[in-house]
Amino acid sequence: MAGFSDSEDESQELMTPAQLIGKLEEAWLNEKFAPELLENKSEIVECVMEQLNHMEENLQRSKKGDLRATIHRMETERIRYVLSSYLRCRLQKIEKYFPHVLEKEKSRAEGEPSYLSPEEYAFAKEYYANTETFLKNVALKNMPANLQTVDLGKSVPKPNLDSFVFLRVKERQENILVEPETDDQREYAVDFEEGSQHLIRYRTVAPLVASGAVQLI
Amino acid sequence: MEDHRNHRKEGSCHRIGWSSAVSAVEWPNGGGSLMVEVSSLSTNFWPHNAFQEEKAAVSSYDRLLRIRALRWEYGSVLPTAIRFHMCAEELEWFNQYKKSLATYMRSLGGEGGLDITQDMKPPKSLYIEHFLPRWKCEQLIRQGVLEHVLS
Repeated sequence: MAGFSDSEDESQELMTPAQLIGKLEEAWLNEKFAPELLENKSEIVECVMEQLNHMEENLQRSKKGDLRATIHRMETERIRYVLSSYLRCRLQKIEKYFPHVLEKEKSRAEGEPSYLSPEEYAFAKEYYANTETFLKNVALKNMPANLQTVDLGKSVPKPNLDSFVFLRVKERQENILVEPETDDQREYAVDFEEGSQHLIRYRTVAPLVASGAVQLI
Repeated sequence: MEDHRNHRKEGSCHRIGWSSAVSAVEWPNGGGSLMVEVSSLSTNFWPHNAFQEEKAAVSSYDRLLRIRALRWEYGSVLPTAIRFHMCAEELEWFNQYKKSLATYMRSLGGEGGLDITQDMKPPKSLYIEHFLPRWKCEQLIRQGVLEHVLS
C-alpha cells in the first residue's frame, strides 16, 4: 500500500499502488493537454518514486528468467516513462514561460497552493538568471544603451489560455458559462453530465481541471 | 540600400530537423561566430537600425532554444563539431543549464533522483517474448494472460 499524508492536516490517505498510478496518469494527461503549468503534484511524484524504488529492489532479488520478473520490469518501465514524461512536460512549460511562471509564484498569496515544487522553483530562477545573463552579454552588449534593458516579461509570450481542450467530466457540473465565439452569438450555459465529453476553451474550465472535476483527454 | 553582407533572402528560414543537428546551430549567414555577427550588425551603415538589432536579439534567443534542445538530444557532453559553432557565452549558458538540470533531477524522490532525459519514448512492446517450459504456461495461456507467439 502506498500512503501519503498531509502533515498539516494529519490525514493519511491510503491508496493502492494501482490507484496511485491512476492518479499519476491523470496528472500526466492534464499536464500534457493544458496550455499552462498546473499545480504541482509533488506528493504523487514522491509516492511513485518510492513505489518504483520498491519495485526495483524486488526485481534485484528475483530469479533471473522468472516470468513475473519480466512482467514487473515492463511495469516499472511503463511507470517510469509516464513519470518522466510528466516531469519533462512541466519543465518544458517552466522554460517556455519562465518569466510568467516566476511572477505567478512571487505574487502568490499565503496558503494558496504552489504551482512549482521547491526544486522546480530553484530551477526556474536559475534558468531566468542564466538566460538574462546571456542576453545581456551577447545580444545587448553591442547595441546602444537605450536597448540594453530587456523586459523578459514582455518579450516572452504567455500561454494561450483560449486554446481548445478535450475533456471528460468526472463530477457533474451545472451552468458552465460558455463565451460567444462570434459577435452575433450570446453567452449560454451548459451542464456537464458525468462521463460526458466536451471540446471547449481551456479558460472556461481551468478551475475544474484544478479541482479534478474534469479530466483532460 | 542593399546590405551586401546579408546573403539570405528576407523571409527565408533555415529549417531545423533532428538529423541536421550541426546545421541547427549554424548562424543563418553561414558564419561560425555569433559575436562577430552581432557586432557587425551594430556598426552599420545606418545609425541604430532597430530592426536589425531586434533580429539579432531574437536570433540569439532562438539559438539558445536550439542549444537547450541539444542537451536533451545529445546528453551533457556535446560533440566537438557542435561546440565549434557556439560562442563562449553560449557554451557558458549550456554549462549552467545542464548543471541546473542535473541538480533538479538529483532532487527527485528520496535517493539518487531520476534521470528524466531517459525514457523519452513509451516502452515499445506490450507483448514480451519469453521462453517458458510449456507446462508452466498452459494455465496462463488458458487464462488469457499469455499468448503463444510463433515467430
